[in-house]
Amino acid sequence: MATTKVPTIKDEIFRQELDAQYRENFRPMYRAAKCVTGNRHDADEAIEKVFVRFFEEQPSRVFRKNPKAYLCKAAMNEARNIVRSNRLRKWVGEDVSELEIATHNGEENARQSLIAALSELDPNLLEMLRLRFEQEYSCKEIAEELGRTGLGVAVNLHRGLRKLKKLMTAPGGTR
Amino acid sequence: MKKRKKMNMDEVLRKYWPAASHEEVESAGERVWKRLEAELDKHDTSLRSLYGDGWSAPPLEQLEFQVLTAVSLLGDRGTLKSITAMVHKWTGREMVGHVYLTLGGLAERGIIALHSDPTWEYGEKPAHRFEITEDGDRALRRAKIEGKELVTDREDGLAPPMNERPR
Repeated sequence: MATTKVPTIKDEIFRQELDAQYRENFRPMYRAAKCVTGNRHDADEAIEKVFVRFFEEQPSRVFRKNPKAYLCKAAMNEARNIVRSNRLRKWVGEDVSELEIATHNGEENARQSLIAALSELDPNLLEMLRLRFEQEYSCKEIAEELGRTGLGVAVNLHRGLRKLKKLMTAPGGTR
Repeated sequence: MKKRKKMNMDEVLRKYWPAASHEEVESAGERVWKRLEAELDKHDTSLRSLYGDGWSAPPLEQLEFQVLTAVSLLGDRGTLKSITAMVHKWTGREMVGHVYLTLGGLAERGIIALHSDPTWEYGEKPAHRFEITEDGDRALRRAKIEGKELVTDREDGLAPPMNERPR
């Protein structure tokens, strides 16, 4: 008679560790992913992809060093990939001229334009912008959170806003 | 005609930033975890860990793997003599000293357990039996996944047998 091996407590170690990491980091990960994708469906998918990768391969050293930073950055990168592949799918199916995003064509366009532009930014810069405009942190608080100098944060934010503006006003949106 | 007020970037970001409410984050947390649990069931993660070397099972050296496999195969017949004999088949060398030391090391790490017969008297069958523990079983499963082989040649880093002279 074939018997199935009963899982022991030690067999559950991975699940417990994953659960702990998930509970601790889901919220910042979701907020980070949402600010890139602009919708909850894609943010969900991005986070799922980040964790599913752990089932298939060993976590990197960077993760072991600073799990929170790694997971938030991974969520942002995954969200960015999703946004890009969605955009590509749209371009394949539609006429490019229909996708030009103009900020003066209503609120929804402005929102879409901002999301498209955000997905083009560097994850570090995006995290700074998120802390600034979502959490309403000051430059000093952002600097403390990310381990940088206040002046560095201010300069990065200034440059980031300039780049964002350029991306949003460029003909054809973010391309 | 009324002139449209132009917004600066700060205002645009404050107004259109895709923020998530507390309720939204909480419901997303539940939703994604359910999906992850379903996905987790498709993978065997019983030996995995997010930390350390990525395993929740202890690592084994080549000889430790051979000795532990012998202990596992022999079950309650695992004595120093029978284990050494089995390891000898895989290595092609008589290495009772190495096996003895390896058994000691494995027992110290809790990978095998040593059972002594209190009623043993001189001249009877051997007093000590070695049995594999749960950690040992996990270590063995890890070694198999890592692709460790039982039969080895002399390139495994061990010293050549005593009766062989160097040329």
